[in-house]
Amino acid sequence: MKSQAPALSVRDLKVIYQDQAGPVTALSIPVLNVSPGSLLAITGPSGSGKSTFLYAIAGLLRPSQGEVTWGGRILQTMPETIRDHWRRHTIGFVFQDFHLMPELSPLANVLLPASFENLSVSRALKERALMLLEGFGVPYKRASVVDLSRGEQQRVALARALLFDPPVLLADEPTASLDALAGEQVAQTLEDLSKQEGRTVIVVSHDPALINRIGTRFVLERGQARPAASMELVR
Amino acid sequence: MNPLPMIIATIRRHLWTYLLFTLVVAIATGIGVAITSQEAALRKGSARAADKFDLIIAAPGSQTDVVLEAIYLRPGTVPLLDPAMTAQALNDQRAKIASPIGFGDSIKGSPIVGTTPDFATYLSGNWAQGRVFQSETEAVIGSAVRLKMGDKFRPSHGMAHTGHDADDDHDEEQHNVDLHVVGRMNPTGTPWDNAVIVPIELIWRVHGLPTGHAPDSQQIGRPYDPARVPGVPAIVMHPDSINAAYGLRNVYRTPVSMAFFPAEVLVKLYDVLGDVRTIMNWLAMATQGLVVLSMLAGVVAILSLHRRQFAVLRALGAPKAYIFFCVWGQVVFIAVLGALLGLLLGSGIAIIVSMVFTNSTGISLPAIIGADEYWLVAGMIVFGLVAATLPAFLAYRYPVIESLRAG
Repeated sequence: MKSQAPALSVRDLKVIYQDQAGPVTALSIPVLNVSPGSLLAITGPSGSGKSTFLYAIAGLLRPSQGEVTWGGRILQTMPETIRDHWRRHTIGFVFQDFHLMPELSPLANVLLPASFENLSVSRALKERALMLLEGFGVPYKRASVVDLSRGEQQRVALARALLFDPPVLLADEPTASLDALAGEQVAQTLEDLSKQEGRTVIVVSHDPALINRIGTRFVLERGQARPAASMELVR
Repeated sequence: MNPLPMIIATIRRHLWTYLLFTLVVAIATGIGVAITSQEAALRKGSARAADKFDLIIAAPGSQTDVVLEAIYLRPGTVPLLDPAMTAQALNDQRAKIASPIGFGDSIKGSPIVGTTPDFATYLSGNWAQGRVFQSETEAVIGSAVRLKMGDKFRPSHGMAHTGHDADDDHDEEQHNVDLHVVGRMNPTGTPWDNAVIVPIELIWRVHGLPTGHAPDSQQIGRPYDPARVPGVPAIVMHPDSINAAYGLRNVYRTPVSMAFFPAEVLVKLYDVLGDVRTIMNWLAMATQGLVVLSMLAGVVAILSLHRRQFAVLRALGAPKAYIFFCVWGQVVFIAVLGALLGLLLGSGIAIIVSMVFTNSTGISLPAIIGADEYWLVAGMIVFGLVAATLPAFLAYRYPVIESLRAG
């Protein structure tokens, strides 16, 4: 069973990169607190810093300034190997294009993260992978994920993200490649993962249907959060 | 961690490309293995062919030419030994065997070599069939000669080294003498396997020369009448002992003759061969190195297509070492499989080259894969293991965020 979702705290976060014209602030969030179990949508126009924000709070991107804290643990001070292990067990990632291995079966795709830390896959993890695929209604006995519909592929990606039962799920445009029906199913799943299972779910999306369904949101424009004042996002 | 599922999946995705890389590595390794093995085989085969030619006496000139003509039966223009010196050497009792080697004729593509019964028996060891010749009209044949026991034939004038049978050429002059086969030698792994061996007296007689005996004598072999001995291209001596061999060598080093051990000539040839081998080994290794580098360039190009995938794995919590070993494992797969296939391929090439060489020269080349070849393959594998770290390190250092955005 997953551990209690940690609270997210962002302080004075800035991501600055050098352009030909000089330094450009890609992201600037003075304060952001997200309660455990929140369901949060981040929206905004392309290039507004949404994905950058997601990568920063996942510890994939080292900010130029400020700190990201999950449950009191500051990501920037964690050694890389510790951060990898922490991310594996704390954060599940879902992408717009699924990024599944077409040569592998749905089950093998879900079990792939298990190969990051062990030589062989434990029986418990296999059972969990099967339970997730069955729960998401994926015909997992297919030889390859390419035999699945796009909606089913995204659900395989969701199952992969949940293999280690992480308390946090980050989704980058999870419905952008899906038709309306499949998008609706994925949106429902994300909502359930937060509201029924208590996971913190943070979704970056342009999809109005998904954003409206989530309700709690903040908007990024040119890297600035709106409203600019500190935000307390609670469940 | 266990990157094997990712390695297998990636190899499956680019199966034909990776198999092509593997094939190229296999060919490069195979050529190296074949060259090394054939060079060693050539030394062994040529040394074995000269084994029973302890000491050679010939007219002053090129020792290499004499060795090529007398031992390897290659046509040449070796001058004839002075008749008086020939008679002295043939009758020298300090040599257990002292036999002339005379050429000039052929039958069905096989050279006819004139010598003594003693030397023919010494060369063959036991007889595979029949016995040694006992008269001028009898002949024994090497193990590969296309004649049968009891066959009768007329020798044709001219040597059969042109790739076609001299007796197929209607312009060739046939000698007016009928010979018949009375014995077949055991295989010797030397050019003599393809030779027809007759008494030297016959060679001399059909060429209008004195036979070393009285004109009406049917004797073959020692003793020879010094007044009736013509010159010969070479005399092979088999002394009793090493001391005797050195003694005889000194005796026949005169202004009109040279005496030498064929091994001396071979050692000089092997020196040259050794230099060539070193050059070829370096070339083979350079080729292998270039092939591995080309393969690495190909792998790096393929990996650039997987940058986003690696970044996704990192986002899912894969350690950097996992990415490193995913890539390293793919290159190692190509290097190890390619090297092992190269060993098989090299063995096959060596066997084929040996067969072709044996067919054309009669010298049996033992195409044996030994320590040198295993070291070469091991070197290739080690080089592959080390070289694999280059693309692996590149993948290890791929920036995650840029790669995630690259899609």
